[in-house]
Amino acid sequence: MPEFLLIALIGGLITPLMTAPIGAFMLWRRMAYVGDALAHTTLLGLAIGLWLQLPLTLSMMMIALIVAISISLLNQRPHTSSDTLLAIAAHSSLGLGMLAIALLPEARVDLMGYLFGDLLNLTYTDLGILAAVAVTILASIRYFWRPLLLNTLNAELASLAGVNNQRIALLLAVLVAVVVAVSTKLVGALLMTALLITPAATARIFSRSPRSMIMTAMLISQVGIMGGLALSWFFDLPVAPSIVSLLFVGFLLSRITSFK
Amino acid sequence: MQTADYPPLIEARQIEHHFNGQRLFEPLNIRIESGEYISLIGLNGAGKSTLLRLLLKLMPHQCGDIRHRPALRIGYLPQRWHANAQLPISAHEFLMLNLTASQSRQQLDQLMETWQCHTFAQQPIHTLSGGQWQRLLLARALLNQPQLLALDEPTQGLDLQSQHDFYQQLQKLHRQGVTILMISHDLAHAMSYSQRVIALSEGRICCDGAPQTLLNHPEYQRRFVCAHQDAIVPHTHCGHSHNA
Repeated sequence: MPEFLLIALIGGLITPLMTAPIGAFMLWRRMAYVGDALAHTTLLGLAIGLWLQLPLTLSMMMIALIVAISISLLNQRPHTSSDTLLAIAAHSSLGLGMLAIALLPEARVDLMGYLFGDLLNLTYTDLGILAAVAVTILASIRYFWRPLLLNTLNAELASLAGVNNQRIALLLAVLVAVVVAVSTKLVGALLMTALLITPAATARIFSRSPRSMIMTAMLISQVGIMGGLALSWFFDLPVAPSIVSLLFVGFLLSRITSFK
Repeated sequence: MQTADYPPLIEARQIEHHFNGQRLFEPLNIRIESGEYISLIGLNGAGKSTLLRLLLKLMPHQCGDIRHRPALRIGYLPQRWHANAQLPISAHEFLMLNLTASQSRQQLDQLMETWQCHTFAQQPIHTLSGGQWQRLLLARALLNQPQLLALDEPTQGLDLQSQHDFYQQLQKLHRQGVTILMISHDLAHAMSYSQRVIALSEGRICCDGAPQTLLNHPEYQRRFVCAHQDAIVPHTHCGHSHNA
């Protein structure tokens, strides 16, 4: 097996370890648009990384974090509408990012790779980053499981149970931003939300507990990524759209079987 | 009941709340004594839920002072909320999640038995009926053996039989020494079960006392009984009969 394919396979097995739990929380909290908006903001991170000659994953993560934390803090103020803020942040970042890249004539940016993913160009460094982030995300979710779930169920009850709701909302925003920034390389900014939400939505149908839903979503994502890679390898198709299409087919099939 | 040695469970002095730049309440003073059964009544938008949340410190108060008795244990039933169907969680797991380190599993099983939650323990919470849901929330609220049970319109959406059962359960808890503070739209219940009724209207407490004294209170008659009658028979003008 070619080395690049092996790296892509390993990356495809690691990534769902973080996208599945975060995707499940996003589904439970109706935050699907947050993932989409944060994925858009990473283009500005990419541009800033190119300008300042920083590692691109780091600069993308920094911008996603700044936007996620700002929105989370602004959300805690009365009279602010989160979807308005997200829409402004997402599209302003996209516009500013494109402008900044256009002003960098010497920079060669694979915009298609950024928008639709570049799984087959993963490096060992990327694998290391993915593994480190996946372990951190899993550990954080395990440690904060109770407050995260209580806050997701009902913030008032969580508050009475001693949960600091503002901190938990902030924590989740940070986790989503980190996952979006490091996973964008796999499926691209435009298809990122599909990798987060579709497996979780499919898993919902087969799950009777939050934990089993996360585990099932992990498995579905891994099968989707492996299947997408296989389609790409054997039929010379683009990887990320193949992955997302397979995940969509899985979702459709699960819905059809649930009607029986 | 209150004794000289114990401070009130909750004491609020001169609390105010502003929303959108408008004052929701005039400065209010409220004392909740141990052993009371209090109904908080008022028309829609009177600010009952806000006042209850302020008293429980679930939201920050902007002016005044709210004091809880040290180590006060509060059980709270929020206004009816719909569990998210996307989050698959069973009734038993929901209660387990609310269990703190100081509470035992045995305690939880006992509560489930007492409030008959074991019959739907493995059912996802979003599929529970109104009565089952309220029993589950009540069991959750009682996990920490509260001294004060605060309820925000707990019988909303329940059929008459379920309402009756629920009030019986509340009475049982009250007899066991739990202080009840409940928002209610059910004036008949408030008058027949409560020891004290606090009526909120236009940003102030217009009546506060035993149900018997309240019945003859002119402001209570004008704001609640007449409003209620007008709602049923729109052309009845209570003010006329009142003046007559």
